[in-house]
Amino acid sequence: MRFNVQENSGKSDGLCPEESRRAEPFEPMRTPSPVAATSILKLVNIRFSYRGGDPILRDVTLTVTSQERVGIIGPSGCGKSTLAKVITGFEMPQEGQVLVDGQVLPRRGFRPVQLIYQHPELAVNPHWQLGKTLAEAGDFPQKMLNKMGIDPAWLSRWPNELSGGELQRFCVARALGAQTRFVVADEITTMLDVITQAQLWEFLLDVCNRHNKGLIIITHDHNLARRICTRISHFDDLSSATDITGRNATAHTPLHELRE
Amino acid sequence: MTERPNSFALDNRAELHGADTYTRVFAINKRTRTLILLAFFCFLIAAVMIAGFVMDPQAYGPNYDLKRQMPSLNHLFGTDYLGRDMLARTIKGLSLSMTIGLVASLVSAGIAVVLGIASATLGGITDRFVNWAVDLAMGIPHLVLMILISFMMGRGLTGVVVAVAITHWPSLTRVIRAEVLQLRGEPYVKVAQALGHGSLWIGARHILPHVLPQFLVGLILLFPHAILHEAALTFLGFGLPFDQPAIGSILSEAMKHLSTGMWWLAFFPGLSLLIVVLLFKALGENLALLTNPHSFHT
Amino acid sequence: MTTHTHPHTHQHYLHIHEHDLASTHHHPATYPLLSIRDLSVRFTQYERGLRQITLETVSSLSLSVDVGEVLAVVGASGSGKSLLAQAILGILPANARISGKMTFQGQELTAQRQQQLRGREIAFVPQSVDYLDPLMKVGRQVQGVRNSRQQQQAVFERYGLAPFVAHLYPFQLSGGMLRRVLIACAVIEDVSLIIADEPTPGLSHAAALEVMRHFRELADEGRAVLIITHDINLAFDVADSIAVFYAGTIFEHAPMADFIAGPDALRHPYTKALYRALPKHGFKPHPGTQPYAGALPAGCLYAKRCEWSTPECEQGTIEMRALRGGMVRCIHAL
Repeated sequence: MRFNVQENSGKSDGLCPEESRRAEPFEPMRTPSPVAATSILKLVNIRFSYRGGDPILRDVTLTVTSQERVGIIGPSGCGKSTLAKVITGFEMPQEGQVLVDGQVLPRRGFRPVQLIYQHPELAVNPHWQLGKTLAEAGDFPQKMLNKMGIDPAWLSRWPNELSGGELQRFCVARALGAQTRFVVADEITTMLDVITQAQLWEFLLDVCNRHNKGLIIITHDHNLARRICTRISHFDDLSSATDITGRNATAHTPLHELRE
Repeated sequence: MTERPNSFALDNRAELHGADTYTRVFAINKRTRTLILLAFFCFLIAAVMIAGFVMDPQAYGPNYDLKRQMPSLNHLFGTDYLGRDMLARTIKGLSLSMTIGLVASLVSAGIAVVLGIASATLGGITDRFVNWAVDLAMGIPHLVLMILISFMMGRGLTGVVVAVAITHWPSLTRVIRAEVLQLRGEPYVKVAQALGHGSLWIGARHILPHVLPQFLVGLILLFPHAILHEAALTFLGFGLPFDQPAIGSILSEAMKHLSTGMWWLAFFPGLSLLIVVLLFKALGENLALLTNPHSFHT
Repeated sequence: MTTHTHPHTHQHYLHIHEHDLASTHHHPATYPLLSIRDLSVRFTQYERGLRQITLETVSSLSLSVDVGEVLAVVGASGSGKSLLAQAILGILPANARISGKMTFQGQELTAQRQQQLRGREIAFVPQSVDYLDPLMKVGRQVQGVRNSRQQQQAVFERYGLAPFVAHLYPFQLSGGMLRRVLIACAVIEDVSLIIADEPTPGLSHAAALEVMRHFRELADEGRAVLIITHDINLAFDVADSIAVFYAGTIFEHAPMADFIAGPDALRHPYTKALYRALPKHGFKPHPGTQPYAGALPAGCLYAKRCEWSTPECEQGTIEMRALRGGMVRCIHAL
């Protein structure tokens, strides 16, 4: 199953119009990066298994441009999270490659594909005040933090003093550095209340649209995917179905169609 | 406390507030109590060590007028067959034993940190080698290994220090390896890598601060082992020479005189050794409690 | 998902709060099975260093659930929902203090009574499969200490667990099977109240629905079921009523039908905002965040984000009150 729900119009059109109009424009980085050229993320015949286990990903092929928001939907345990880790270089595939603009993901240094985890409380150092966690990813202007709903007072708080939704804002902001070309969001709002969910997506989609960053959205929520994705890939079992993404995602939706 | 834990009473905010104020003003919470206890232990240990160092050699030297005296107010631990004051000798001996223990524990803990971190971060053949070495070192009975090393090094102070220092690292190595391995798998460490931070940066900022408390606790818990083993080595005659008033040599010497009824020669030094070892153990365990944020909240 | 008919009456939970007025036709007693009034849970914690502080993680929470009812308590993860379950069961951590009043079958629920009732009258379905002993075969675990093997086999059959599964260890079972094992553990005794804390994590929507249907059945057989979840969609499918959890308290307790009908039928401004933020109903992000347990404002916890907010909202205690067949904690709700 696969559907194009909305054409990518370059604006966060899925969201409440008054909200986006009221929001002031902002730059995510102190040095305003020129709107980057469109990048292409390619997964070529990825095969992955954890040490000694059966392959979890088999012959996975996927192409995403930085103008797309691709939803990957499937039940848990089918390998979605593993796919997210492979795309972002957290795990190395046994076969195949992850290419960004033709380049293999760097083993050292900043990776242009960033992962946002489902559980923000595990993704921040519990012994660091959040300002330090944010600084780890670079400088963020106050404007951006305001837009994200990050209260300046939170910067001096410890992670156990904030809720999951508040922490997730930091994790989202952290992933959106100027060099980031693609963001993989692995069930990032599953554990949050729906208002926080809507807030986070509004911001994330807005930044990705403005700065031409591609989004890969892993979720089990069909309504959410329909609302925010330009393209949706369904699969039930990555390991057994050889055509999960490959055929689903690359062949069926020519990119030029999406841009039109 | 006016409230029972986990039970129901009709809400009474005033009462609860009163209980809170009471807690803050009069009662000392558990963490503070532990800290005070720790400070007291440290003071005791430091006092014995310093007293041993600054002590006038006359104090534990022979005095032939006062041979074989029972414990009394003048000589709390009694005197031996040369008329040496056993209290002074015990303090001097403990001080020496603790110094050896300190040096040996530091070296052992240093080895453990290097091996533990190398094993966890480099993986592969290093990891296998370290694990093999840990298994090997743990497999051989400690005392036998130490006797061999001390004997090879020509006994004496060097022999004891080297023997104790290079046999006490395996368990702490395991702890540190496990801790580092676990930290390296934490999502926030992986995120730091993805953000382009190098291993050194991550090691210094994310990993070391987490390992440090574990290391400190491990170090302090090595102490009693090191002291006991030093005493054992000396007692068996493979350690310090008899003219050095170390606890091991005092006990060993005292053994010969037990049959003549001079029980105090072994009893008081032995008891002091036991107390010092227990003190260190309590120190380490309390520190572990204090550095673990989940240990207590009451 | 929106066209669900609920064969169960939506009125029976109301007499909970108005029990001195109403006597119901289908339940002889005038009290609800479980009633919670002004429950607060406070934690004594260390700040950095030696100072201790008290955090009020659950504050003045009122709720009730009755036989035949599935009540879903919906709120964000980490907002203290699980503490509600732990408070009812009496399994809070040692540094927690509670106040308020809870009654079960009309009698006050004391620590001693909680201990007697746990497992016999009140069962718990935990969030994590870690609650199972990894070294004990599941059949033995489900059977427990008080029940017979026949009972275990019956409950396995009921949940579609083949007899051989009883001889397996937890790690040999799939996520869906483990969930059913956890439910089997809870219902092997004839309990009257089931408390489920996030019973469906890691399950596909279909598998989660299946689990929820089991809870529905259990309620239909004459038990009360309280499900704590962050997933409002799941609640839509089986619950009779929804209690909306926010920053440690409950803002609104409304019949399911009101959530289907939309914002006009709902009472509390937060619930309305919640409805409008659903991906299928507008995805409108209402600004602001839930306050942290250590910095709860006086008065209404929602006042800072609320469009109806007036000076009265920020002072005094806002009481839970009955309104249009539900309960709401808002002075402006109509």
